[in-house]
Amino acid sequence: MQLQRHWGLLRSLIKREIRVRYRSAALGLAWLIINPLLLLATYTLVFGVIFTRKSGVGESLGDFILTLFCGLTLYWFFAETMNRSCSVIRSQPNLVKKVVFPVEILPLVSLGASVFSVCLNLLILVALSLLINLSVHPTILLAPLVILPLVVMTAGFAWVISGWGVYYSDLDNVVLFLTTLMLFLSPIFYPVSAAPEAVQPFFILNPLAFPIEELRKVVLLGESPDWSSWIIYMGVAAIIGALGFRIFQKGRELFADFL
Amino acid sequence: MPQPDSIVVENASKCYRLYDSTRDRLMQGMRDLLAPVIPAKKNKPFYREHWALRDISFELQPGEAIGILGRNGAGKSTLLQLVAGIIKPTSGVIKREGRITALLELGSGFNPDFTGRENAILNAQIVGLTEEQALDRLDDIASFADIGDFLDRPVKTYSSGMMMRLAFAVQTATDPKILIVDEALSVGDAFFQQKCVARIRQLLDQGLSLLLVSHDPNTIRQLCQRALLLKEGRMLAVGTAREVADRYMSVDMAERNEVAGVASYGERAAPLKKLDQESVESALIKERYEPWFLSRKVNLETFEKLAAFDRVGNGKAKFFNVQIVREGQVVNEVEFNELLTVRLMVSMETELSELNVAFQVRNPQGTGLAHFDTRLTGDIKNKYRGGGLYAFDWHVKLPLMTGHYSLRAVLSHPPREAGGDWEYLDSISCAYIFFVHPIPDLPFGAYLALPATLNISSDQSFDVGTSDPSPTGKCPPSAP
Repeated sequence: MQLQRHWGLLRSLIKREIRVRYRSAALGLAWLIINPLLLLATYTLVFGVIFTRKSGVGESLGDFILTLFCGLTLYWFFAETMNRSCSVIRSQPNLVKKVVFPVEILPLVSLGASVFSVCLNLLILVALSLLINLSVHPTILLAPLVILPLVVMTAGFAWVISGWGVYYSDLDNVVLFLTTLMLFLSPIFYPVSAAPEAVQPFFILNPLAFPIEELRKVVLLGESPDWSSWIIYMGVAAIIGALGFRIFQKGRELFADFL
Repeated sequence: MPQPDSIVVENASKCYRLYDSTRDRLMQGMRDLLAPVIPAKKNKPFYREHWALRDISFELQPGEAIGILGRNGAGKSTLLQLVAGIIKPTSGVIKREGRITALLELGSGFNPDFTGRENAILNAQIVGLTEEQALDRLDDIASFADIGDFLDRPVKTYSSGMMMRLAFAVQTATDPKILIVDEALSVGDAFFQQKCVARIRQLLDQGLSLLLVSHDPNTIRQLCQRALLLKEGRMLAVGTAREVADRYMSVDMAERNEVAGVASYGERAAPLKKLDQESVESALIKERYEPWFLSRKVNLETFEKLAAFDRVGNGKAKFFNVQIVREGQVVNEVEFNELLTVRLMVSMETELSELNVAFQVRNPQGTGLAHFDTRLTGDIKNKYRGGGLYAFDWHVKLPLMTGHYSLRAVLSHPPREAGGDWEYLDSISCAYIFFVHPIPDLPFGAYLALPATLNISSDQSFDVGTSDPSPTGKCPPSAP
């Protein structure tokens, strides 16, 4: 792919994107850590304390917190990237119309910034694990590998959505609704095994279900991921990634005309 | 296969679809999507077509500079976007070879919250440098932009001038091979403009290929060898920069004339036509004017040949000769600063007043150096009889350095009210060509040596010296 040529530029842009998000805030990048912790506390209060837990996986509140945070980390990554993708091209008409610029890397910039958040969240996860269990499973080192297919797949979706977003700003609302829906349809507040038997097979259609479950395996249970499933998932992710890129490249010819 | 660092444009056209609403756009999108499945019916499309460019063809050779002229909305910017590869042509082919740097809107990639330094580094990367290269060239960029401490302040605190300077500095610090510039030089203060032009010259000397858009014909004349003129998306003319720049001015004048004719004169001005040999009916004119010509020793053929190259006007009055005369003799070669007569001969086709008879001395690139007209001499209120022949003799000294010069001659009515347009009766881009002989001791690097008186004073008494005044005795008082 011709994306490699722009690797240096992409790296600089991601750096800038991360800084721009928190530049004007007094606490700066600290928000990257404060934010997820505050949200984690809120969700824990609502779903771990106020609602009685019937999930069965986390026996203790500590386990619940770790289970929850695995799910939230990946969900936030996906939802944030999707919602930003809608307007990532539209909001920078100058780069489309005024300079010769590899527009295809713009969706990857917001994706990259979100990947950075995921990395921070994984560190938080390690810290929480140490705090709660006083130990960390060494399999946590496999976490990046578990997350990789999701990143590739998300990139594919991001290309498609950012491309369409140029033409139809209605997409913002659709994506916002779908990502909110996914917060509840993904096994975040519950494991897949807690869902009714009849529904369970359908979780495979949810791109978040597999990586969330696998991440829990490597982080909480200290088990290796299910490699054969991983390979299939990675294959599907690669196809979606490549397809998304193709769709984007096909649509980009008219970007400058519309903006 | 095009040569390196060149651009070939073949019959490029660009059509925009204009939709009245997003709904129409969605409907058309659906129809396009279904087109392969459902055979197209002759339905009325949901859009209107707007052809921004039609059938544009030209070639930018390596090391060549081409100017693009045209009024607002002529399609200049669209053409640059096409060539830069930012938009795709609806039809036609554009072949590019070599890295293209486009200065379409300076500073448009800047983020206002970041400092000039940060923006410069990132922008240089957008143009194609690596981060290390960008850091290496930062000193160059900073010294060219010359914005001092502001380099480390957020761009949002910059004046628009400072932003332009930084942006231009970044873009040209990247060793562009093909540079595309859109009006970028018309912003900023005069000093910076000069600096930009000098930078582009320097790059041109190093073999840069340049595509420059401007609505200022002088900039095009200065920097480009060739030019093309766009009007309403079509190529009206292509040729040497000088020819096209003159053509542009004529077209511009013609458009103003139409407005002036309606607005200021109540009636529509006589339709503007190209006044060339045919329309002047040279034989008839010769017969009528010949006796008068002969008494003044004029050469009608030369004048007509020169004038026919580029001449417009509504014909209410016409030049029938323009010449430079020394002691009754027509001359093409003159001395520095000698007393000469510039003679403009005009035939009035109708009774006229408020007539501005003007000429300009132009350098070989066509830039006007000196201007003379009957408003400045206080002769604007004169009345001229219909059918009359007049000679306007200007007695002037032209302190020009050696070289070829030309005269541009214009007959016009000034606007009747403030903000109105000029009406052009006759305008000839090149009515006469003459050569100024070199003289010793005249500095190079300027066209004019204007007369001045000099006083020298000092903090101590000083020796005036006893050298000869001027070796030629023809210098203006300014020369020692």
